[in-house]
Amino acid sequence: MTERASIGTPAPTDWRDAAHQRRMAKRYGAERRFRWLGLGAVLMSAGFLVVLLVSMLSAGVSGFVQTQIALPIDFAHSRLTIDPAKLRGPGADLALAAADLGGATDAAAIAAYGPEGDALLSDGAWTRVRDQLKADPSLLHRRATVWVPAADRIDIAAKREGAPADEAIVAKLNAAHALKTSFNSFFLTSSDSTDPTMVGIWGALKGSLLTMFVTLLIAFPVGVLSALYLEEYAPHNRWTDLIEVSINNLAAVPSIIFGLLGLAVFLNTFHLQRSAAIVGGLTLALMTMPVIVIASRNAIKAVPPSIRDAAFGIGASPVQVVFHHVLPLAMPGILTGTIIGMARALGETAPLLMIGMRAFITAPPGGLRDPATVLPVQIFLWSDQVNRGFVEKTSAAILVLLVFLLAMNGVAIYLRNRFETRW
Amino acid sequence: MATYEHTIKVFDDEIGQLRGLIAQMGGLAEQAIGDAIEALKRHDLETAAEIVRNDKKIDQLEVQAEELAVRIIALRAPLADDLRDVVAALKIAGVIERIADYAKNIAKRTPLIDSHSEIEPLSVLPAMAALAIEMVHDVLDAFAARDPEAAQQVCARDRAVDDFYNSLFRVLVTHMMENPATIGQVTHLLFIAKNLERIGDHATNIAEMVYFAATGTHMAERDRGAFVTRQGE
Amino acid sequence: MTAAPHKISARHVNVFYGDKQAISDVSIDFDRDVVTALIGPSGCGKSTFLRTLNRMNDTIPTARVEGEIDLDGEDIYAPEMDVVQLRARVGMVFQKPNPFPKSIFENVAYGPRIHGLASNHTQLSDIVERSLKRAGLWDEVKDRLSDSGTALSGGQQQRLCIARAIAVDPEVILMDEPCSALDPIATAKIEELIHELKGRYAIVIVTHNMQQAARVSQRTAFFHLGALVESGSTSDIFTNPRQERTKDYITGRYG
Repeated sequence: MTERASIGTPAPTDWRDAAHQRRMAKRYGAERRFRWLGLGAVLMSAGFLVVLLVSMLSAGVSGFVQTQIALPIDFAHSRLTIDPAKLRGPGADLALAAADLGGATDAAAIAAYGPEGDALLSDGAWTRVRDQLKADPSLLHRRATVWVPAADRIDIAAKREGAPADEAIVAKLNAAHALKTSFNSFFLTSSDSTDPTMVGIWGALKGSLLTMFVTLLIAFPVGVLSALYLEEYAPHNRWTDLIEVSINNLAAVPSIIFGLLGLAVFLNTFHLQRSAAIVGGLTLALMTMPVIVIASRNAIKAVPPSIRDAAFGIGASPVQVVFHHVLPLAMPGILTGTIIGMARALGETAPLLMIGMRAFITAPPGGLRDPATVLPVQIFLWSDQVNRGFVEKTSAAILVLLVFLLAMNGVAIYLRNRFETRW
Repeated sequence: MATYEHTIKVFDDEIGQLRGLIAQMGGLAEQAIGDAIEALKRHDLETAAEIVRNDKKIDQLEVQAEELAVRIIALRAPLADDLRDVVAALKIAGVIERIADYAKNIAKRTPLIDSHSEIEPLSVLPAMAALAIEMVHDVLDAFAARDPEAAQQVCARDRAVDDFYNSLFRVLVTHMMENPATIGQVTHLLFIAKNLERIGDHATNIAEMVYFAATGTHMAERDRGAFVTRQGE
Repeated sequence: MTAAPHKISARHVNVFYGDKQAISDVSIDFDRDVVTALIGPSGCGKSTFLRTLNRMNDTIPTARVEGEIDLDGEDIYAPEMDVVQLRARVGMVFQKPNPFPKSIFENVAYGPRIHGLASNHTQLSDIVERSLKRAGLWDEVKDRLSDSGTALSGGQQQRLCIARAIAVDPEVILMDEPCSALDPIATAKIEELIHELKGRYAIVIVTHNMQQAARVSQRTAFFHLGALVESGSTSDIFTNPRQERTKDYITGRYG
C-alpha cells in the first residue's frame, strides 16, 4: 500500500533523515570491517611465512657448518703401507682403498686424545684423511695435522646443548685449539649416508634437477600443444567437452594415484629402472600436465579475438596466427601455470615413494636411468631418522629445497616479464 | 506520408513548428491579397495602408522560418523526405514573402487609381484575384498534406490565371487607346493584373517544390512558362 | 569465364549461423574506385555480409555461406580458392583498432613478410614507408618506428591498421565501422584517407553513422533483417530513397 502511495506522490527523498544516516553508518562500518578482515588475513599468512622461515633458518643454518677436530697423524711412522708412487698414477683409488686408513685414523686419534679418542671423530673421518693424501701424496713422508669432522655428539655439543660429558670434551678441545667450525661444503657436494656428519644433499638435488628436467620436457610441450589444439582447432562437441572435463578432473586427482599409475605403467609394463629419475619425471609429468593444459587454455582464451581477426584479416594461416600471435601473447600466462605445476611437482613426495625413489642412495645419479632420490623424499627420509644429528640436516635440506623453489620462480618471473606485452 | 514518428520527438516538434510558420505566412499572404483587391475595389485607403504595414509581419515570419530551418539542418541533420521537406519550407517561405510583396504592391497602387473612374476591367480583377488566392491556398494545403496530386492540380490552374491576364492585357490596352486620359491609372491596373499573374506563377513554383518534397522527383516540364512570357512581356 | 565488369559481384548470398539465417538472398556489386557504404540497424547482417567478402566467417565454426561471390569473376567460395591469398587481396580494417602488440614497423611489415612480398630488408622498409605514407601516418611515426603500435592514439592506431592492410597491396579494402571508436577529428582524418584511397581500391565500409556514409561513399546499400532492401547512388539513397524502410531508417523513424 505504501509502495503504491509513494508511486502516486513522488516525494523527494530525504537523504539526511535518521534512517538514511543509519544505513550509511552501517555501510561504512561494513566497508571498514571488510578492510580490517582482509588486512588481518594478509598479516596472518605473512606471520605463518615468517614463522616457517625463522624456524627453518634457526634449525637449518647450523646444518651448513661442521665441527672439525685437528688430528695430528705421523704418516711416516704409521702402519700404512702405501707406495707413494702409486698415488700419482691411475691406480691411486685402488691403492688407498687397500690401505687400512680407518685403522690408521683411529690409531692417530687414540694417540692424540687418549683411549676414547677414536670415538670423538666421525665414522667417516678417514675419508677426509684419504682425500688429503690424494691431494698431497708427499704427506706420507712426514707428520701432518688433518682437520677431520667430529662425531655427531661432539658436533651437537659444540653447536648447542649436548650431554655434560661431551660438553667437557668440547671445552678441553677448545682449550687446546683443536676444535673449529667451518662451512660444510661437504653437505652440498655429497649424498646420503647413515652418519649425519657425513651426509650431503647433492645427490637428492641432482635427482630433483633430473626429475624436473624430464617433467618439464614432457609436460610443457604436451600440455601447451594440447591446450592450443583444444582452443584453436578442436571442434566443440561432446567429445571435446568430455576431454575438457577429464582434464579438469585429472588436475584434482590425489598425487599418490599418479604414483600408482607410474608404478603400473612405467615399472610393471615398460620395465624401466626402479627409482630412476626418468620414471619419477614421467610420473610427475602426468601429474603436471593437466595443470599446464588448464592454465594454457585460460591464457589462450584471454588473447583478445581482435588480434586473431587482425592476423587472419591480412591473410595469415591458422598456424601463423597461433605461433606468431596467440602463443607469444599467451606465453606469460602459460609460464605462470607451468611454474605452478612444476613447483607442485618439485615438492611432491607420495607418487615418488610409489615408484621406489625412497631408496638409500649414497651416490649422486650419473644419468636419467641411475637410481636417484629427490629433495622432498630425502627430507622425508631424514626426518624419520632417530639420530639427533639429522635434525639440523633435515632443516638444511628444506632450506635448499626452498632456495631451489625460489630460483625456479625467479626464472619464471623473469621469463614472464620478458614476454609480457600490453595491448 | 510519415509512417512513424521520429525516434527523436523534438525533431517532429520542430518540423511541425516550421510547417506551422509556413501555414501562418500563407494565411497572412492570402488575406493580404484579398484585402488589397477589396481595398482597390472600394478605394479604401485605410485598409491599403494597413496592408503595407502588415507586410512587415510576414517578413519577420520569413526570418523566423529561415532561422528554424537552418537550425534543423544543423542540429538534426535531416535526410531524405525530411531534408526535402525542410529545404522546401525554406524556399516556400521566401516565395510567400514575395507573394506578400505583390499584395503590398497592389495596396500601394490603390491611392493612385481614381475611385470614381468607371474602368470596366475593375470588375474582372477580383475574379482573377480570387483564382490566385485559391491557388495560394490550395498549394499551401498541398504542402501541409504533402499531397503531390493537389500540387499538380494547382499548376494546371495557372493556365486560367494566365488567360485572365492575357485578356485583361488586351482589354486595358484597348481602353488606353480609347481613353488616353486614363493611361496613368490603367497602367497601374495593368501592373496589378501583372502582380496577380506573378502570384499565380509563384503558387506554381511552390507547387513544384511541394511535389519534389513529397515525391523526391521533379514535376514533368510543362509548356506554360514560354507561352506567357511571349504574350505578356 | 569472361572478365566480370564488377570487382566483386555477389549473387543470391545466404549466410546461416547454425539454424539461424543471418543473410537472405543478397545480390550486389562492388566496383573499383568506388566507396560503397553498407548501412542498416544493428544486427541487420551488414557486418556479416562484409565478412563473407573475404571469408572471415570461415573462422566461425557454425557459419555457412550459400550463393556465389565472385572476385574478378572467380568464385571465392570455390574449393580451389586459397583463403590466405584471398585475404591478402581483400584486406580488412576492423571496428576497434587492433594493432599487434609489436613495433609500428613490425605491424606494417607482418603482412608483406608472411606473403613473401619483399626479398630483403630494404624492400621491406620501402613497403612499410610507402604504406605508412599512403595511410597518412608516416610523418607522425617516422621517428619512432620501433615503438609499440599500441602506444599510438586511437586514430593513429586505426590508420596503422589501414597501413597494415594496404601493405600487402590488396584490391579491395573492407572496413567494419572503422571510426566507431574514434573522436571526430580522428574520424575526419580516416574519412579523408578513404577519399584518397578510393582511386586505388574498391572500398566497402560498414557504418552506423549515416552522415559518415553520406560523406565518404558514392554508393550506399541499406540492409534490414538480413536482406538488402535498397542499393543505389549515395545521393539518391539520402535524398530520395525508393523504399519506405530505407526512408524510415535514414530519417530516424526506424522501429
